[in-house]
Amino acid sequence: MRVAVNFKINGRDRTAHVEPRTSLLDVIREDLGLIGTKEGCGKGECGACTVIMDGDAVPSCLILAAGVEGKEIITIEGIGENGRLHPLQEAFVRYHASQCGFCSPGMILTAKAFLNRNPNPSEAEVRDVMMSNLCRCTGYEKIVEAIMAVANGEVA
Amino acid sequence: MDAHFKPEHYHRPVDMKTASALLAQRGARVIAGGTDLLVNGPASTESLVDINGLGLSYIREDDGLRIGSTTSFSYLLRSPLLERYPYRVIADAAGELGHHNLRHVATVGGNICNAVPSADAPVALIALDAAVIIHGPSGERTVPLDGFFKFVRETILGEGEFLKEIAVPVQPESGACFQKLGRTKVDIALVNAACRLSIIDGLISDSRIVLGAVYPTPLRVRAAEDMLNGKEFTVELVAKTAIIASDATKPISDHRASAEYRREISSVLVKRAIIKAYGRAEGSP
Amino acid sequence: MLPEKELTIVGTSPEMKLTRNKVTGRAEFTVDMRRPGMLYAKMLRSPHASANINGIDYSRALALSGVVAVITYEDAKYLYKPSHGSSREYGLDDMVRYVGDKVAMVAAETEEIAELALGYIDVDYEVLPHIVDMEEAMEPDAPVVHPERQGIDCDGNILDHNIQEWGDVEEGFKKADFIIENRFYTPRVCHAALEPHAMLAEWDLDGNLTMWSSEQTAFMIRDSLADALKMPRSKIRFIVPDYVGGGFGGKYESAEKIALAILARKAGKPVMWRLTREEEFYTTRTRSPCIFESRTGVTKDGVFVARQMRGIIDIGSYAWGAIMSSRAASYMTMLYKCANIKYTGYGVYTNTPPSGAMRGFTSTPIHYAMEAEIDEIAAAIDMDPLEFRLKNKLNVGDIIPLNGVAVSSSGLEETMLKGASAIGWHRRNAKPGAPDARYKRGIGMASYCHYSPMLKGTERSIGNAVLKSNVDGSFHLLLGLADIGQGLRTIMAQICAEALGGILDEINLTLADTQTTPWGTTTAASRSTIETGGAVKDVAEKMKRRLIELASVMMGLHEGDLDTKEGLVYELANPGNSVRFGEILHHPDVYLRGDNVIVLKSTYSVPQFVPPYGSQFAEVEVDTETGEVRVIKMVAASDVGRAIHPKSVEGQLEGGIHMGIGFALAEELKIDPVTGAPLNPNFLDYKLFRAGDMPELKIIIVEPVDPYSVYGVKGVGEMTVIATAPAIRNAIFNATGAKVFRLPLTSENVLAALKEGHV
Repeated sequence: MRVAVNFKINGRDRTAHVEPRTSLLDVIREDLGLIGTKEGCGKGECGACTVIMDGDAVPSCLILAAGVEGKEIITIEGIGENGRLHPLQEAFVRYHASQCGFCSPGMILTAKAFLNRNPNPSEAEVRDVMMSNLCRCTGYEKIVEAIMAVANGEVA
Repeated sequence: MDAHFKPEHYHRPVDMKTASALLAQRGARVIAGGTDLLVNGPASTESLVDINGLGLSYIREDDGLRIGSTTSFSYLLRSPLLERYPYRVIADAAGELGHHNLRHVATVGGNICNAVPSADAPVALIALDAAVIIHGPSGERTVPLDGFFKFVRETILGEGEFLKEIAVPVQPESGACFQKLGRTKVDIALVNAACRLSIIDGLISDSRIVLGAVYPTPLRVRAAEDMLNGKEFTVELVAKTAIIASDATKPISDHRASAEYRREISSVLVKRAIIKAYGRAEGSP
Repeated sequence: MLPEKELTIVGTSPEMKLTRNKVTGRAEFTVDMRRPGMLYAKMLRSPHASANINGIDYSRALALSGVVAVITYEDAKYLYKPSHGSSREYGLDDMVRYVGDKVAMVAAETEEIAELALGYIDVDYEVLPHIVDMEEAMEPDAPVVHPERQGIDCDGNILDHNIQEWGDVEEGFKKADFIIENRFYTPRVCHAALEPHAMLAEWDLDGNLTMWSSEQTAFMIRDSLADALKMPRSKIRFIVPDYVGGGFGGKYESAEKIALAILARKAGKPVMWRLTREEEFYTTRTRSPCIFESRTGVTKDGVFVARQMRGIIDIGSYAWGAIMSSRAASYMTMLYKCANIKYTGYGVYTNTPPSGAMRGFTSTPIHYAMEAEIDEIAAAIDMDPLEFRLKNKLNVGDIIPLNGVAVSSSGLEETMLKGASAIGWHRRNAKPGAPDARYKRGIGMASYCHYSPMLKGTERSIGNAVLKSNVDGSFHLLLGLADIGQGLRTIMAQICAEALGGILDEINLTLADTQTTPWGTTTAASRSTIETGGAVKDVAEKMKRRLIELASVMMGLHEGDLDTKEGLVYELANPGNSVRFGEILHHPDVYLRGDNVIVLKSTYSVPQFVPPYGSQFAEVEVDTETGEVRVIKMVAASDVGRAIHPKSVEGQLEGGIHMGIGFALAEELKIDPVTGAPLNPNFLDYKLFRAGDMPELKIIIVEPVDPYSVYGVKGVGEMTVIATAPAIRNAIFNATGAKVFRLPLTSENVLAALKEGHV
């Protein structure tokens, strides 16, 4: 039985017709063709599928698509404006926080949602929040550096 | 998720009665956060009953605390009602569950109803004498959380029943502490523990000692509580109590840890929880 | 040789190419690709650790709506011989050799249908006895993993048995004042790259096969596929997309490619196959579990007189890492002087997941054993472990017994001293065991010398590069290697721009396409920069000379009066007199003759082994009540020769520490000792360190600038994964006196060691 669900994605209203089991990740990648959101584990452990939903970063592989009626969703394609990078994206480039890049969209969105609520965090608080996302390339060092640089206003 | 997890129907009821009626059907399962269902969803699931539309996301003060079952852990962590001990032990447990983003999705009701022995929230809640309000086809009933669990992944919920609310009674003046040991910082508990106690005329009283991940269900160790109650706090008393607590456990050996290690850690965590709870009962943070 | 002029691009950290696409979600990884009519594949996997397949009936699966094709051993029993390595594995076989081994493959219109179809395939298994333990597998009556290879290349389950000796260890032991014997175990760990394997196969009606795959090599797979399928190489095009989500040695040739190719041919449509995370963990190769039994003799002054090691390498069900059982011996000869060394190695098959290359490959496990032992020896003879290492190490000019090559450059001493200073080596406990307290702190160190091309003089290490001019004076560099996320694209562009005197932004690259790029080896073994970087520098210098030749005519000057920089040819005596590369190529005298189209190639042969060294220092705090180990600080000092892109080098060293800490403290793919089934193939139970788990890191880059390699560089990709675990183990030993021989150093293992003195 397909369910119609209406939501906003990256500022645009969309409707999807989904099976009960369909995850938000499936809708984003398959129905909407947005490839920036990745599947790394399918179990909410790795954070590669992170999107922002109603202001909070969530693992989209664990969100039932049928349940997102009325929600506002932001994927990596939805930040930055008119070809200008969002400060976090700029910082990831500048501080070499991205190696293979597979975890980068999820990392950036987790950081964005967190900084929106908490613009002046300590490094320990950043590290605690960023435990939502796994990285195998960087050891997290330059990722944390990039996020702190944005938090400290060094990257606009 | 498994390809065999293929529920045919999705419902989002707007009232409790309808929710219960839908849940009474064969193969119906509650979905709130979905963090377990979308990972372990059994093939026998025929319909999903999404209870997020029932207005059960709240935490309020009303003869103690009332927490709606679909309240997310991050919502709990933001609540000023959990700023002070002993209530704060709920936030401590919530803050160690999963990782930050998962806490936006996982619900306290889900953590309870999953009934895995390592669940963090029940251990803290039982230490505060929490009860659960269950809604079903024949109305509502209240059950102490300590009596809610039957076995691993088995609760007393019957056909058509679901968890509506967690009621935490008004607490005596007391300190509390939640302890958890995992393999890394983000982990399910190899062992978790909670303690709440009061100090009256210099003697420990009204203590609660609860352990998780070392028994098929959360384990309240009354024998350990009896050891503490009515006595002065000493290092030896705490050590003895910790051993009574660990002796009561029935841990399993699995690929995560051996039973011997879990038993050993039980006594360490209970000891630490008692010491910290005592300090907080005295007024330190 | 050292460049004559100051470097302006090599040695800087420009923005890495293509990063903007990664941070905006535009980066297209293999799994993001779509081809018209594309189908999706799923693999049926064996529930048994060892079984013959007597028949497969997939008629019920084919009958399902949306299922297009199914293949079994009857379609895909082609032997894949990897271009390096002893593995002999079929695309699909009629025998399964580990829980998870491939049985049959389905192509369907959706992944969900393909997965459901697996349940409709009926397999007639004849279950056989299996063997999980590597030592038991060596016994004569053990169940045999590869019965079909008996008498060809294995004896029972022993694929390799080698003895390597330098000097005479028995004589050496007679001179020892102190002899230590130990037995170390290093576990099965997984690459766990964030991007699961994904590959896509498509045939055209002329019988040409194109495959896209997240891979560390294009040519080596193409060649092995061509041989297996008996096709000319020209009819197979293997492409590694521009974006690969990490490899670490795990995205590196596999017999699965045969199966996917056959499935796509049978289906008559392109077929995409991506692995689930569970499959990533237990059906792709892992690091080989190893046992090292050591016997080491030293004098009371702390000089090695004899070093003996017996290594048993569990090569799993398919020997993707067989070279390890012999190569490990090399590292006994490369770091410290010792006249008498003997290594006996065994490569043993077991009915467990195939094991093979993983970052630090043949080097990582044996360094754990060797470096852990040094601190114990030092404690036994009451010597500072740093002093011991300084005293025994090989220096510049010393001959490495393995290959007879003199050490050409060494930053080893500098790494030891700078690292010791950074950690505060003087703060360590003078004797193992901090004062009695719940928390005990300690400091430990470890050093290494890792692999580099031409480790054995008998190798060939060749890199190729093609450089073409665009008519506007920008350039296109074609390399056969893949960028797996470590930044190879930018590094090669830097080398090219530097040697050419060009502009970094005006050099673009095509990588890893067997149809268009020249033959390349693999992005692995820390070899790309040395091997292919050498070819890049060479071809860029050729291009520079060609441009100067053309410009000299235009400018009316001798070639010797000219040089290049920043995209210009200029007169040395009068730098204002210059002409842009593009102007040269636009000049009528040039383009009317077609001389604006310049295509040059270079083949570079690595002249000699350059040793990459490093030292790491760890400070830990041990909770003696629970056994929990917290790494407070990790200092990694690395002799990288020269850092082409310092920030990228830091990133590699930091990432290597992450993998090394996991190896040390938390990671292990556990296999049920009875059934052979994987117990924790998921991120919940295979514990990767997260941002809040990491210690304070300090990276020290040491640059002795080797005289033989391109710009003096040494390979950095694998360095820090090697010394992290022994440094931590030694810090725990310093903190508590407890010796743990078995990795990982979980809290349970450490608590047991604290109680019993060792685990």
